[in-house]
Amino acid sequence: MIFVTIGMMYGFDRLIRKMDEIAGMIEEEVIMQIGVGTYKPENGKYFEFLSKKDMDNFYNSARIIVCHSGVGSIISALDYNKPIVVVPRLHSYGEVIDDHQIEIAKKLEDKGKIHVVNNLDKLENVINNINGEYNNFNKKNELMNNGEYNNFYKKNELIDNLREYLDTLNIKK
Amino acid sequence: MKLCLVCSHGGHFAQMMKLLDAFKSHEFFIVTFQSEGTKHLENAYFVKFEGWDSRGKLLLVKTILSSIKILISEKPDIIITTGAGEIAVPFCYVGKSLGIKIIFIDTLSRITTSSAAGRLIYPVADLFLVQWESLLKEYGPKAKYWGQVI
Repeated sequence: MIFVTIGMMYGFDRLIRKMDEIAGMIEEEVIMQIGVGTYKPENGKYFEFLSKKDMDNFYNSARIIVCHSGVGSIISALDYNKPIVVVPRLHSYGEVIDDHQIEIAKKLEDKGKIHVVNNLDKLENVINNINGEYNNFNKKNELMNNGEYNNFYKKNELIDNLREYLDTLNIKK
Repeated sequence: MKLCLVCSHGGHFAQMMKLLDAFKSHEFFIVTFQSEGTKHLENAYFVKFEGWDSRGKLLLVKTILSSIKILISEKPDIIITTGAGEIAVPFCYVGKSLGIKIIFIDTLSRITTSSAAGRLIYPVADLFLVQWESLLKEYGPKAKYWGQVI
């Protein structure tokens, strides 16, 4: 199943319309969270908003996650170790106040965490190509789980620093 | 020590949840906007987002009143916020005037340009963190980089 989510704030009809078109051409089920968008998909199940529990369930059962370049959607999706395809909202289409979504998507792609699609004509290809690549992706995670991966993912510098800072304040109090 | 975690729903909320491990050993409560993604929370106050008036100005009066009510009855020692400004700015200013320490963590989605919430909260923050080193110079000497949520 391919799970598409575009966040809580605004609609993203351009992505939903494209994913609906792709859903009509492939056998795999496509489930979409469409927010307040006006376009309603015809080739797949869709929801305007989902509770945390339902979101978790769909992330969990998806083979691929497709989302907008919102930090909330991406960092939630990262928890599931699945291929994440990110489509940034564009200012030129009135989808967002500025083009910061392109910037964050590029940074996270450079870190190897996500696939970014800026041109929607390429979306279907990227989704199809993930099939082969997914195994490598899993293998890489497996390898990393045994070593460096733990340091990188489980230990978080920001969390450790904040915890330490709060402990110091607590002692002073 | 009691912590008050303030964030809007969506991405700012997701970042706060990622950081929860740092706060768990203290007593804490959350203040956020109600949405499908936050309504399951137990130890939370839900503030209603007021939107903008006809001239495009942000409406904050009710949020300011709720912040006074919540902060006076809960008496937290520290307010920790990941934004956005709509909820973080009133809580930080009211909190500061009540002698509460302020920790601001700028959003991961900002890489080269400062956020409005960041610029407004910078003067009252006791600890001001950014998630990209490239932002340090955008805010000023008080800004620090201690890592990222991911």
